[in-house]
Amino acid sequence: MAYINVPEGLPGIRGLMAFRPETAHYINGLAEVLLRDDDNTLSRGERELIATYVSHLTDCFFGQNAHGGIAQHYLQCDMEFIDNIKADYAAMPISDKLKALLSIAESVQRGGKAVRPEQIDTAKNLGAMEKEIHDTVLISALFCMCNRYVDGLGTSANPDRQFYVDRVSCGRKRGICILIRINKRFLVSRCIPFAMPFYCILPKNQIIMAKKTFLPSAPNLTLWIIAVIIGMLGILTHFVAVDQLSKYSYEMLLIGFVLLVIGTAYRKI
Amino acid sequence: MAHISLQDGVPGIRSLVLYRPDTGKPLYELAQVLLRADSPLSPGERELIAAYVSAQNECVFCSCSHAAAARYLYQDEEQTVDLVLADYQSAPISDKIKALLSIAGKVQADARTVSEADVALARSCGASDRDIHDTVLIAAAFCMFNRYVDGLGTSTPSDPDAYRLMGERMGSLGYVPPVQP
Repeated sequence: MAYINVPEGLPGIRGLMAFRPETAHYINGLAEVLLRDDDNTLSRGERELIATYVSHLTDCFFGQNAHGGIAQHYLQCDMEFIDNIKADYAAMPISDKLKALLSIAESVQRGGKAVRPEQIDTAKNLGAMEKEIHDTVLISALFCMCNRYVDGLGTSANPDRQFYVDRVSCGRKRGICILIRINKRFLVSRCIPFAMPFYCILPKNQIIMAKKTFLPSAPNLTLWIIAVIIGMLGILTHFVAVDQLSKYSYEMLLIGFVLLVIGTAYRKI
Repeated sequence: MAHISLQDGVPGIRSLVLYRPDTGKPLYELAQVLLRADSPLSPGERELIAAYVSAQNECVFCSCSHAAAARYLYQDEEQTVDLVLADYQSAPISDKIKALLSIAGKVQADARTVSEADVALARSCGASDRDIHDTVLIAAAFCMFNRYVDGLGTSTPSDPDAYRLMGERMGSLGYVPPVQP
């Protein structure tokens, strides 16, 4: 039981994100750029491994298992490999550059001032670019936040470690990895709004989340103009016969309407 | 000397945001919503928690700048900020803020030590779920910001006037990411 009233059935940081979607939005945004963006010379697996290692050092059960499961998936390894990294990464068959970065992440976890210039030099000599060092420090710092957020509010988590592995890999196998990997808050705020008329059939916690997370927003100007032009064309061609176009008037009006609905439901469109 | 090539003359987190704006943007937006958006805690109280946690983390840049922002927001009672940073238990603040600062201190040191008793004490002083949530997240967020700023060895001004100006800007304008000059 968490110390505050979070929706039931959402473990770890997910319950907190549903409690306060306004802050969750930016925490997710940061994690998305830092951990998942493919425009990065560190692989997703390496970045998730840093996150897992830092969460292990902070001894945050949810953090190290949720991200350990993802790291395991990307690195195509087993849980023992991840556990051995936690126990002694220096003895493991990973690149020397990654070892140097893990050592920097470890220092950051103890405190920003614990990072020594020699560690940075070592990493650079082993081929680490400045951006990789930057991202390592920020990933470590980000998890120092998330771990504390999760543990400081006493959230609950599934104690079965295999659960965190399965939820990543079984999703992949069924080809619905995106549905599992993107967190529930994101899913609910993007998809559930369209199911509003069917709220009665949804589980209670999802209704609470949907209500808390769905904030309609103004569409952007380009989309709005496109939608209005298509919609107007639809109406005009219904009354004024235009060759080829008139038979599609209903479809055009429908497209305009759908574009506007999407534009208001999704935050950045 | 910073550990990576940062722009000269730009201190603390601002140099990091200029270095990597796509992570800097959500960081600043998080600070803005956490420290300025609606909350049962006033912006001054939230800056106070930020300054206290940053002082515990010994991050000079963050503790000085957020203390300056708190002083700006406390207006006539700006000395409260220094009394809290010296010893919050004897400072002229409400029992609720004292209980919340104690939770923030535990989150900073080791979040697993925050107990039901700590939360119950805060509640008995009138703290709501949101007070507790915001306190924990502010403390946690500054454990991130402090490590980010110090872990990359960013420059830290030593002139108190520099922080006073930062405090005024943070107190009046909020958190606006710096742009490349």
